[in-house]
Amino acid sequence: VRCLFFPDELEAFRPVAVAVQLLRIQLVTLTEFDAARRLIGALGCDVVIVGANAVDSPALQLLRLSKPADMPAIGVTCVPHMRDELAEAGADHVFLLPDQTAQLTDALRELQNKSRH
Amino acid sequence: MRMLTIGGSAFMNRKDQRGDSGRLVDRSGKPLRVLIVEDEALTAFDYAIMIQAAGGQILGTAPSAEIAEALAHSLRPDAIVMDVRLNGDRDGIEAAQAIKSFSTAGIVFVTGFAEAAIWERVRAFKCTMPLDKLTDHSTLVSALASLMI
Repeated sequence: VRCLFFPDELEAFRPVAVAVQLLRIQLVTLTEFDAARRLIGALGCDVVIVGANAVDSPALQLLRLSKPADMPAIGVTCVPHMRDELAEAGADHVFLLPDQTAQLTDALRELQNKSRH
Repeated sequence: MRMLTIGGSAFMNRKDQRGDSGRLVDRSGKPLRVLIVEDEALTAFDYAIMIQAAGGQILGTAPSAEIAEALAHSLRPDAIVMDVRLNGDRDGIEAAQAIKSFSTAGIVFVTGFAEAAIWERVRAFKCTMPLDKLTDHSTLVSALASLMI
């Protein structure tokens, strides 16, 4: 499994790297909106994770505007009220970090298992 | 011999990171634009946090030679932190050779492996300096800062 990660900020979303590392998933991180829009469907990624902590987040915009319809999307946030925003923008699963790091890991493991079958 | 263990990195010393603030910004205020090529996600992320704390701008991380080349082509970084051992058929030295054919980015190699053959291949690569993954973070920041001179 290869995962594209587009976070608003790096340090707050370090738990994503912890989960990905645990499962030995390949992580591609992008930090520029235009690059992410251009490359989201071009790097052979199986899933996109967006990290959004504000309503004007570029990560939220990426999810709304550019996610390929057949690509699973996971939203992560450190701000409780952003969970609904991420779900409405198209995230299939939303996790509050760092509290739900284990649940994020489980969701990624499920994707990994599906890709093996 | 693998020399770095997950979570054992010296790179996460936040106090030291603050001391490096601004080292990766040029005189006009432009940050060094950095791509990280590293197949261990957590290590890549910790490099990114450290470089950002030193004033650098992280463009992205890539886990393989294939993705590294695609991102180097698309993002046009000023500098690349390149792990020698990567996922896939090709290693970081081969990725760097390919990237050098279309990019002027400076490359800093890091490796957790001490085999002489790897170090010789890295040393033979022009304009680069191999760093051990166990090195402290300020050494990596210094290596990146030297690319701005």
